[in-house]
Amino acid sequence: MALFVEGSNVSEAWVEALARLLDGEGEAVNLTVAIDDPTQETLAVRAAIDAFVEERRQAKSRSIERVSTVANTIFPESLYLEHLGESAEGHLYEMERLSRPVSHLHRSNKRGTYFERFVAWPTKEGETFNQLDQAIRRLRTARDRDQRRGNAYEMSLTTPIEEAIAAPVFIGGHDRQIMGFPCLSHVSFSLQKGVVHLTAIYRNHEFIKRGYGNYVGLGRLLRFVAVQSGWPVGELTCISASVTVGSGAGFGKGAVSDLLAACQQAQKEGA
Amino acid sequence: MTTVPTKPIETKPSVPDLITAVLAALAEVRCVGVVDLEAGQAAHGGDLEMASPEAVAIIAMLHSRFGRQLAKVEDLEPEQLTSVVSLADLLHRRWPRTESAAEVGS
Repeated sequence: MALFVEGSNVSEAWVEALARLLDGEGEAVNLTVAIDDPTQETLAVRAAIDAFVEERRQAKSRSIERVSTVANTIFPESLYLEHLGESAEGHLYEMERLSRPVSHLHRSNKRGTYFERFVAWPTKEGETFNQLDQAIRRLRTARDRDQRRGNAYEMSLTTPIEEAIAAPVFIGGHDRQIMGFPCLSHVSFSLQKGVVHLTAIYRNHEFIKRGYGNYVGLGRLLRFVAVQSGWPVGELTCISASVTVGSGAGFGKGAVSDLLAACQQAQKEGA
Repeated sequence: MTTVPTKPIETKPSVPDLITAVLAALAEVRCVGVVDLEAGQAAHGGDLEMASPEAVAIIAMLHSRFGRQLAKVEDLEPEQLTSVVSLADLLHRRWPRTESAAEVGS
């Protein structure tokens, strides 16, 4: 059964979604999480999740990735130097391109990262296409025209090459694996009433292992696109077609319930 | 931008040499002067923290500079990539055991 969850920031939305998932025996279809400000977290909640992750990584480093690692696969925040203005985009893209051979050595990145799919989408001609660059340029153009004409622009969810500001991740015919990358299939930016929003669609989501970091990374991606195109940051909506809380050693019912309780307590204290 | 040397550098750099090389690469990643980083390093007890994506970019740059693959899969866990000194130490430890870039076909 579908679930709809709203939250003011990443932490609040994630904690509420986890609670709803546990009410439903740890899985759901079409989990839709809407986050008003996906650039914000409640630090105490993040600390509780980080502690949960570190405990499991100490027992077995490959059991779970850090929140920061998951977020970096969507948007490598530390390589974005906002103070460079429009040059920040070129710098970010160049640093990512340069890093790619080493990044691919990591066991989780053998098939690339989400950010790589955004900036180096493989075309049929064997070249690559920067979907983010196109999205930002078109949003800038919209802004310029808005200033001149005083009109708002609306853009729809589309395919990368021909249209405006959507970015598919899944490559038909190439991504044949049933499990693993890419679980994120598509992101779409939309401009409405002078605010840039982001919608992301996952075919499958492991909620504890990936959910929080994915929301953080998507929030950073949205902020990058909005800032670079000169529009305010809007909301993030993330749809998970299939979602499970998580499984395996360290993810039993008791441990997950304890994590939820710790996060809910942290949410109260941080509010 | 750094380029791939035609022949891998065979002489193993010292840790201080590698710290200098890491700082130079970090300056490129952060678009700041090496002098600024050195000042920050001095102010933080001789080391500087880095984020994992910065460290990965630096490893890629030094791979080009030294003509060697300088990291292994297990080195790319975030716990290994925390600071200038820890990265230089890691690269120093890896040097004798790594193959040249030409040998690994990079």
